[in-house]
Amino acid sequence: MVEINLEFSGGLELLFGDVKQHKVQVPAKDGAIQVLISDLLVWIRGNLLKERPEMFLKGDSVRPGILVLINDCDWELCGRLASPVEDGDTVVFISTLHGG
Amino acid sequence: MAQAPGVNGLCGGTPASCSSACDRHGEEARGMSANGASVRVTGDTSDGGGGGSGETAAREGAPAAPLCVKCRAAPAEVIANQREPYCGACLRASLLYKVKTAINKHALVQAHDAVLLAFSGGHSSTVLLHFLSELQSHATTPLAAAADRGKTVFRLGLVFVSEAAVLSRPHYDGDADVERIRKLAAPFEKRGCRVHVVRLEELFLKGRSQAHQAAPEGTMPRGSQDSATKGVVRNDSGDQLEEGRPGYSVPHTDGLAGAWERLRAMVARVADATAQEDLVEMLRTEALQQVAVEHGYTKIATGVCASRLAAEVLTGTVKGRGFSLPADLQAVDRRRTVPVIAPLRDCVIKELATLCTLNRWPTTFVPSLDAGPTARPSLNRLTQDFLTLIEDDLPGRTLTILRTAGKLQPFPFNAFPALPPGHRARLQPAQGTEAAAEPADGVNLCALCRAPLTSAEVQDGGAGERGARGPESEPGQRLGADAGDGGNEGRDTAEQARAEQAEERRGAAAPAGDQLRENGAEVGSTGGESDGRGVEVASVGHEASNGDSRGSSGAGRGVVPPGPQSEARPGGVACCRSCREQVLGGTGGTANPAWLHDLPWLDRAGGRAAEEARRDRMRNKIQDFLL
Repeated sequence: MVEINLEFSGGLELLFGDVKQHKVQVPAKDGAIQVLISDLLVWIRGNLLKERPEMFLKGDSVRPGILVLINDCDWELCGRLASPVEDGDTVVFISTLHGG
Repeated sequence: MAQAPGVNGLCGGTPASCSSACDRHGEEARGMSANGASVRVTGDTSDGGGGGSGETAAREGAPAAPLCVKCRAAPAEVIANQREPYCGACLRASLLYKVKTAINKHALVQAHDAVLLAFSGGHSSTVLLHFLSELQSHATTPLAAAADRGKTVFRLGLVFVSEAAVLSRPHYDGDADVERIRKLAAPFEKRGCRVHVVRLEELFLKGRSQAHQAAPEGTMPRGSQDSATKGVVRNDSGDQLEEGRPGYSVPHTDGLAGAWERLRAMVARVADATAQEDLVEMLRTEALQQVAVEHGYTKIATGVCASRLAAEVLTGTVKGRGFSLPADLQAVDRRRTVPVIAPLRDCVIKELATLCTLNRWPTTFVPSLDAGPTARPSLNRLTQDFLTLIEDDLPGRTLTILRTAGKLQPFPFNAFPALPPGHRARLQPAQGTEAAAEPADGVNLCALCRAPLTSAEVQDGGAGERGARGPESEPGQRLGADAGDGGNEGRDTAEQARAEQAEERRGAAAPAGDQLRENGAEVGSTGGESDGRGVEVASVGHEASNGDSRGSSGAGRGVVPPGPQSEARPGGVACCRSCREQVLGGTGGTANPAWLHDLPWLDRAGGRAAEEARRDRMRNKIQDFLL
């Protein structure tokens, strides 16, 4: 179980009750030591996402156009879905789907 | 928690956590130096060191954190430029460099300018606001500007246009959005950036043109809101509308609420979702122009970025706007009273969004027709999603699309005078009348979307009875330095189009002069920003049905260079083929629908006088700057 700070922006917050910041407890998959981003996504879908999951998720991953930063680091540099998340980490999801 | 970059992008103290590219860490932190490593010492300059601070140092199970490829000292935080890992500071430096380059190359902002930033609260406009604000505070004094009445730095203001009125949810409360926007703008307001908030429906306030004319310099016409009148809606007598739904209650008073109804009615006339979005975009552009003129701004800066432009390339292709497409993709657009600049045009949205996050620059999301919970799958929306998909698949495609479209030749109005399009120029000291220069340079423009017209489109509007014009003013031919091939291209397609349309028109009935006069146009009336020259080009034939609306770049009147006025037909305005097919739903030879003249910039009542008054005020302001 790890405690994670979640942030949603770029309009994603609307899918989460218009709340940008969440503090959540996420369990690891059975038998696993670490919590990965993939676990986090599954957890979010089941516990936090209020509506229209297709706006946030696509298959196993996030919808294209949504940036994921783990502690201010692009998840592309950390292993994407396989990136581990540790206690106290901050994971930010930013939608770039709408113009600025 | 991650490294702390400090407040508002200020230095966090060490090179690795500095996200403001401040001078504290050496000159290299500012520019694009490939050799930054020597300055950005964090105590370990060897490659294998894993960089300085930051939680991205190797953690259990994760690959070893790569270093930024630019400075090779800080750990990489983001993939920039398609495939290169950058640290936050270098990302910021890279984007700032792109903006500065764009500004210098196209002379976008000069010391004597007053720049109005179109602010939406999103990532692009937030980055633009921070960058322009920074440039403002770091502006050096050009020699010539010393003579500029002591004004050595460009003035900056920002405007938010609330489109709550057009959302499909009736009585959507836009005031909460406005509050959030004001909160974001507050720090900049403290630094002297004037904040304007207007509602889109204010364009439709009865007698607004007169209000423009009558309002003494520096005052706001009643009904529009700025920093002084937060969130209060008053009718024309100044009485506060009753409480109920904040801002949008009591529809029967003819003030803002009446304008609200008129705006919604106009948008509702357009059935197609894409067309509605395009029409709203045109209205928004007009609103920006009006605010800029009212408050004496010389430039409008939008946060239009590379991703948005790439989407426009694709939608423009689908909408059949091949001839006019390049006009909308450039850094400069001088077709309207106030030139519009796009300093972020070379930046992709991913980098802009990441920068906001790394720098803790707050943003907000304001729903619009094509963005948010009620967004419909319009062509615009689908194209953006498609683009996101292919960019996600292979980063770099956005810029590739723009590079392809870069082969299209811009128009003369896509650069400031004395600078042919694409010309490289250092930032000049106060030049003459860039902002007031004749934007259209004699090129005919669509009444709706301001797309340059081919000769066929003009002819079609004028029933083929245009007065003879010299070759230098032939529509479709680009005037100015780069006439060459572009002109021939325009003419060839124009020839073809003309032949086609002649076919179509053969069956059309003779125009009913009375019907056309009903539309209220005057013969020999002035055009828009072409200094009162020219005549309105008439349209021919039957009443067209409602159709879609297109338009990514706003509107104006279609004006032709002066020809013998007696040969002009009264009644209509010239539109491009794309608008005619998608906006007006007709084919060649059909007349424009009457509702066209409800558009604010085509509003005959008081429009012409107000336009001229506006233009004169603009000119006087420019004069003042130069004296």
